Amino acid sequence: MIEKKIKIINKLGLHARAASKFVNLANRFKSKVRIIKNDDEIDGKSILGILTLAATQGTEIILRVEGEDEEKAIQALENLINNKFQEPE
Amino acid sequence: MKITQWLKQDLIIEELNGQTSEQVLKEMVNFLKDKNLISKEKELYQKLVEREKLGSTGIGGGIAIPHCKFKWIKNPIVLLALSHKGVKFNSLDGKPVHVFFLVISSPDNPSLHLQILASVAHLARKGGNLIKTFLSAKNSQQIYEIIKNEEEQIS
Repeated sequence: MIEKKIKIINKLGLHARAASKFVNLANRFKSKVRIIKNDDEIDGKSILGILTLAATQGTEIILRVEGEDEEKAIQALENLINNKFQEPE
Repeated sequence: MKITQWLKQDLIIEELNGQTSEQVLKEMVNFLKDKNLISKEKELYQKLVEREKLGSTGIGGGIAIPHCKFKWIKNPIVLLALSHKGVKFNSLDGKPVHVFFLVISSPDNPSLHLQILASVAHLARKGGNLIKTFLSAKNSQQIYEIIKNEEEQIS
């Protein structure tokens, strides 16, 4: 199991399209993906789950990834967040 | 935040006539226009259609959250629209959509936009049960009561 604290840096935060990109990417891996924000913990493969977090720009989340491909998965997901979901701002 | 802060009883379409995504989006926009809640309805419709092209807001489980940021409104608008027969909406799970939450917000406040989407998501996460209860409700008053009760349980 790997955990990593990551800051949401894109202007719009974890909005719907970003959430859907995150879920698409997470689904390419076998590992379980959880996102924790304060007291909330949700399934990182659920768009609705991610939307309930209302993670705005500047929010710190914890990614918790567990499974056989956890290292690749967390790297890919972290890159997606740090690349601002490949959206122009 | 509660969705009922924005979603009012008169912002519920009990049954959509349209069968395609374009038809129902137009229907929802026209509904808001008829209530004088928006102007520039053509632009709004266009923005919603463009947003769907980027990836369907049909998130699966019979629910869609079409949304966009629209500079011609001040306060956000949330509209609930039902379709008993279901609408083809290119949903992520390929299933027809029965429950639409339309969310229109101002580009000036991305944080508020996220909070509204979150309140919709909290409600929608109730899953199939909620859809069934919505679809078996008699009228918009009953649907509104269901939402209010659900939100009291969530918070």
